[in-house]
Amino acid sequence: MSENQILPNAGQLCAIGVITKVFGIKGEVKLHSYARSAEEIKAIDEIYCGRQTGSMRRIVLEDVRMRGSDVYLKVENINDRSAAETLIGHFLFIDEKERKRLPEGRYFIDDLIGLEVRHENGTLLGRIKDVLTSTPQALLVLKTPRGEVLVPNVPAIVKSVDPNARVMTLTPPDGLFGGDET
Amino acid sequence: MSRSLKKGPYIDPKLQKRIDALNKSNKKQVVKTWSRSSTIAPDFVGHTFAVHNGNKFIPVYVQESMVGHKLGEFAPTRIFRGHPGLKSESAG
Repeated sequence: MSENQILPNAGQLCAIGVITKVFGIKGEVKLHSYARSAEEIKAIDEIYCGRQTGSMRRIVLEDVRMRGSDVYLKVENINDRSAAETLIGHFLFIDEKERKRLPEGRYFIDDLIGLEVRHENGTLLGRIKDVLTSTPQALLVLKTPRGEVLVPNVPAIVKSVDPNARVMTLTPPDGLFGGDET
Repeated sequence: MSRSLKKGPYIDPKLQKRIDALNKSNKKQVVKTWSRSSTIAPDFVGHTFAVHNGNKFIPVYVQESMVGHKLGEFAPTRIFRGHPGLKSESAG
C-alpha cells in the first residue's frame, strides 16, 4: 500500500464496499460491494482503503474478479493470508467525483437527505430526515412540525425532485400529514 | 395449504366498504387499517393505506403489481437497520 500522499477530505469520499473475509492463501480478499461489479471497480483510478474516512490509505488493485455475485480483490503488496486478514472490516472508498451517474429521476439517498419538502401548492411540509429502504416500498422520513411523517416514495406522490434547488414537491393524499393537506 | 377458491379472497368488509365509498366519490384519502390480512383487490390500486405494524401506521401506496398480496406484506413488523457502516452508494 502506498502512503504519504495527498488524500481527499473525508467528506469527498464515498464507500463502495467492505472487505468481509480472506480468500485462499495468496492474499485475496472478498468484498461486499454495495453497488458495483468487478468491471466497474477495475475501471476506478483511485481507491482508498480504511476502517473509516479518517484513517485510510490509497491502494492499488492487482486483480478484481467476480465469482457468482461476490467480488474478489488482490491488493498490491498483500501476498499472504495473514496480511490479507488485516484488511477485514476495511471499507473501500472512492472520490465523490467518480460516483456512478444515475439515470434521470434516480438519486443517491444522501443527496435526498435534508431536502425541503413542499406541497404542490407551495406549502412547506418539512424536510427529509431519512429514507427507509428496508420496507418493500421505499419510505421518505419527513421531519415536520407535527413530528415524523412517513411518505411512500412513489411517482404518484413524489411529483418532482430538484437536488440543485434542494426541493422536493409532493401531492400527498388527504390524511397523510395528519390533516387535510390540499 | 392455500385458501379455497370457492370462498374468494379475504378482504375485511369494513375496509372494502370504505374503499367503495372513496371510489364512488373519486376521492384520495389515507385509509387507516389494522387489517393486515386483507388481500389487495384491483379496486385498491391508487389508494394509500396506513397499515398498522403493531407499533405505528406504515403508509402503503397500492400499485398494480401489489394486487393479490396481503396489506401486511408491505408493512414489516421488524425493522432491519442494516449493518454498521458508512455512507454507501445505494440509490434511492
